[in-house]
Amino acid sequence: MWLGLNAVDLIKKRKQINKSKEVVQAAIVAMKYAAANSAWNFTNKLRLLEAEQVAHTRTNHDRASVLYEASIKSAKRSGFVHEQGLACEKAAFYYQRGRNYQKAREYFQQARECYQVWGSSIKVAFIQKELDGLNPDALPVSAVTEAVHIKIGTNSL
Amino acid sequence: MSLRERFDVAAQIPELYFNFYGRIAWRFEPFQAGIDKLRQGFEAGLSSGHADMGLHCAIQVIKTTILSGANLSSILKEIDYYLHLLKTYKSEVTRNFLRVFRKTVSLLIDNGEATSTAADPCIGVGDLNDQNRKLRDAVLQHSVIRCYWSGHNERCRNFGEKCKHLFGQGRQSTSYIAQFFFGKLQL
Repeated sequence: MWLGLNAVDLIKKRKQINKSKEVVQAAIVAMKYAAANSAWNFTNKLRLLEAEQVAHTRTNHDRASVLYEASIKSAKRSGFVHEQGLACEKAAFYYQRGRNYQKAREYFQQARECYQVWGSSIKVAFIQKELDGLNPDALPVSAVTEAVHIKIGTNSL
Repeated sequence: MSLRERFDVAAQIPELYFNFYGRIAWRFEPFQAGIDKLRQGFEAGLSSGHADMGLHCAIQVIKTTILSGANLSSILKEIDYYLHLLKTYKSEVTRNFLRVFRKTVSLLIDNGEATSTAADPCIGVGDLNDQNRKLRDAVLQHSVIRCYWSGHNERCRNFGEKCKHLFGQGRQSTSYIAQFFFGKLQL
């Protein structure tokens, strides 16, 4: 019975993944179509979706970096400071996952500047929290939590 | 547009600008390019007695400034200015759209903590009764945008599912942005 339930769960998850892939693909197609008519308005969005897609598969690091940078540049050129901030934020998370904390910090700082210009204090606060988490010896939040657990001995409980 | 200069169609400017700069031009021109023209359409509408069309231009001004990433506090001021004018010019349609936009902007600034007003509505999809569903569509799309930025991923996904039918041909600019965020959320 448990195997069966597990299989159903797996099928559900697989269906969900397939559905998500379709949604992403549809969004990329829509942005490609829109960018063909107005590169100014839509290229940065297309590049960001592509970057996130490549980053998601974790296969081609160089390609993901190039696409994030292209999205940031395109948003900057078009004056879309909010989407420039978003691209910087996503690039920072990408580098953070790859444990390149120096790059992650640079992108988080850029994102914070963009959100400040945009005037979104909730996004500035969110990025600041991420930056604060990066600060102690550039460890990710999860690593710091782990270290604290070990120090206070919660792991042995 | 060149025909407009050849013939004297001053009275049609608000409608012309609303349709061209609000509905068509963003497909091939920068979002920012139409904003000033739409403001002109708004002013021309009010001064020539075509207030309804002028106010429609005002809706497009705000919609486009949000998409173009203009400073949120400036947008909020402009929305409040238009809402103030609506004490004189009665237009329930404009008021409702501006309230939806105001809620989005206020949430993006500070989660509505200091910028929301008592007049901000809780326009839900359920209590919308507009004939051609334009306001309902705007509420859904803005809900996707709001939830994405504020990190409410599950809610964003739900609203995205609800407005999927708007991600088709002949769509408006906001539906492209909503689809972008909905797609982005899956990654």
